[in-house]
Amino acid sequence: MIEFKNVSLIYPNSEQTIIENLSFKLNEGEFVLVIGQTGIGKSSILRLMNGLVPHHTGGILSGEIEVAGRSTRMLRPGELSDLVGVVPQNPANGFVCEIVEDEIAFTMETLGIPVEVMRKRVEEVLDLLALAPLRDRNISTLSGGEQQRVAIAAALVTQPKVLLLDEPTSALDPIAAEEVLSILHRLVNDLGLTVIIAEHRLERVIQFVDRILLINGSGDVQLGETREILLSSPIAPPLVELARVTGFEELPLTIREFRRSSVEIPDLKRTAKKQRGEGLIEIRGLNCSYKEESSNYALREISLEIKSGEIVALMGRNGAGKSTLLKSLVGLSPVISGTVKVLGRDPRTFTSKELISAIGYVPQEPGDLLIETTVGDECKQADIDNGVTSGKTFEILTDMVGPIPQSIHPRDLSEGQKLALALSVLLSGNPRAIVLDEPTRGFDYEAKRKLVKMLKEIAAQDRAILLATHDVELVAELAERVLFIADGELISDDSTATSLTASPAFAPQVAKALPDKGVLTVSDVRRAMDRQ
Amino acid sequence: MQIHPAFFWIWATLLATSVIRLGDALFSSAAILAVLVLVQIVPKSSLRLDAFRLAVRLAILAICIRITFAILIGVPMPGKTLFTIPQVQLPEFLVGIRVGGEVTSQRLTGALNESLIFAALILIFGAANSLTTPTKLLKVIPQRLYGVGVAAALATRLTPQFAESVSRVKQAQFLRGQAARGFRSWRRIGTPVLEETMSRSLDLAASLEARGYGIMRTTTRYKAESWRGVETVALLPAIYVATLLPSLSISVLLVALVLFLSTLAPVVLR
Repeated sequence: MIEFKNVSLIYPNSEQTIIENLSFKLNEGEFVLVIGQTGIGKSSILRLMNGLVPHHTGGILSGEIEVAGRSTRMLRPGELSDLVGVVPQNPANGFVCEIVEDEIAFTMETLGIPVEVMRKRVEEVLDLLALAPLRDRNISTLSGGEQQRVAIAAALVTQPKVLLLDEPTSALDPIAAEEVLSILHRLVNDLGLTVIIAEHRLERVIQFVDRILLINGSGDVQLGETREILLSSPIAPPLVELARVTGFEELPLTIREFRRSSVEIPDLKRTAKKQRGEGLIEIRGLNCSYKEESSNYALREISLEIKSGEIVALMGRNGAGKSTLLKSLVGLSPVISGTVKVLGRDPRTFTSKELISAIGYVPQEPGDLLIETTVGDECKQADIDNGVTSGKTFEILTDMVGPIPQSIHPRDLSEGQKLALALSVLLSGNPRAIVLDEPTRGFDYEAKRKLVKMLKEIAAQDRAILLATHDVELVAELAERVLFIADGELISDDSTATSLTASPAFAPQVAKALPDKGVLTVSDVRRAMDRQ
Repeated sequence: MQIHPAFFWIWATLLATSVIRLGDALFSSAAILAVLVLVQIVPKSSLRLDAFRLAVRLAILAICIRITFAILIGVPMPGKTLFTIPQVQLPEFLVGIRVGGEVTSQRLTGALNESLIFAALILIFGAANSLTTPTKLLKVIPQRLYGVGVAAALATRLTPQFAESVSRVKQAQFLRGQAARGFRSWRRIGTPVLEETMSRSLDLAASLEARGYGIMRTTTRYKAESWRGVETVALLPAIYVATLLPSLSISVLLVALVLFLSTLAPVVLR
């Protein structure tokens, strides 16, 4: 179906090839996962398959790419749109229309498909993706998972043979992600569609895919059966890591396969950590709305306390009110009633300068905090803003992620480095608490490991950390306590071990594979086995 | 029934032509009035209020700038002196230009006239923009004008997102410990916002490209946008004023105002 023959790609004014001498062949009706570190060229490979690279982005391409016998070299992406459907990394940026139904019909309109055919296909696709109840809704009012489904519907409606998805679950909560992936799985089986997906969170996808394309470097790729690749891949989901630790004849891809092998490990007795530290954040009976003067409650009767030295995770489905709660801590949410106290004061009374010395907030897009054109200038600016000795911010940054060239543009940093830079800018103001909104979007496992280490070090400096995230594996590694909110209400506030094992959707893979053992992560299992 | 997406743009072009052709303060004021009435009576759901507010601000800014400059700078003009402000002594080679000095009634009325025309034009197109759903407009632009279509889609789709980015980045800057103030704050907000808008534009353009926009010569409509007789009728008075109306007397002006208001027929009839 798709064949790459000696493909190389380089962008003008760049000395590094993005892809070098790449050859592989994907068959019809396959579900293929593309994995590799961030910035290694996964998105470029997907975009090569429908000609967006190089026709839209520029770049010099050598070699030959054929999709169903058509060469992408001579065809514009639009001329492949009947053959290849694309779901971009951030579907919200790619929507052309405002209403769900119009958006789904858009590609067919541009291709000049007759109205009767269009109507039939729109109905089919709406049913296929369970979007019929949402057909008249404005897309901007939909949740992340629903938007993702609309984007898939819009791509499927031309009845393409190939569907390309770039990190389709990175913004979704575990339940919505499961929904989207099982739909894709069904499409492959029912329609014989070829699906190619790039994804970092392998624990969510490996059970569905047939083959994996592993990119080790610009020209070094491996294509093989899921098991074969994961056996030696440096990038592996917790379940595979677990199997490597406990020993296995055949690598398990699902929880069921692991459990069948009846591996025995001793119980890990968790010693409850003593609560120390002073209360930094205190919320009592908080009711919030989404917007000023709105009577719709985003949060209801929330009460909680966070002490210094604690790392607390805030979980819940898309739209449950996580961001509103985080924003209330920096005085940006419209409070209807109740109190929020940060270091004993209402955050709405802080001036900008007082705020940064109390609490640092990393928004969903850490780039919002950055203004300069080089990392060095950014750090210098933070030194001046926060009145610390010159070079302090850069020192914090180097402590966290090692040396970064000062002259590099913040935009060219990896997602992990960008977050580290935003964190250092805030930390130079010496806040007692740090709040992060969805910090691991687009992170690979390596970047996540570094983030865990970074945040643990920050918390050890007697600061409190609160982070909102969908990533259960991250929470299992990092947090001591988990707050769950659903529909604006705080439904649970408990230790990580208790919270994460309470519901299967939010349980980490290791806890599902080895239930009732008190283990959540692979390192827990290692510790339990060492004690034996 | 929906109004055809191109209706308000044609209407705006005709009205703008009239305003420029007649170049009259009273007529411009009447046009401004007509626009404001129109915006008031359309259903709230079909108006993008943010976009119109921006146009109103721009219009007010245009008037203020023009009048300030008229008072401060210019060549001396005859007429009744209203008041005098201190004059700056300029080097001799700038003969005929003065900064400060006497402000005459003629200068002021001239400036007022011009600024009203500016304001009317801004408001007319601002209203057309905020009354039309951008994506529907995209569909009535012929695909052969590929570049125009993409540009229109980008511009109209990204304006509201732009406003959202500005407020989000402003918040982020506050969180960074810098309350934004003055010229420097613009750079601090501008850099991330422009970068984001840039990458969003690229995403949207890539999406249009990947979805076959501009590839086929003939396109089809999922939901037909029909141009009905009532829309043509509603435009007739505007066409008359824009092309034929010879000169202005008060009575003609009143007629013109009534006629312009009749352009609202489709809105009312909907």
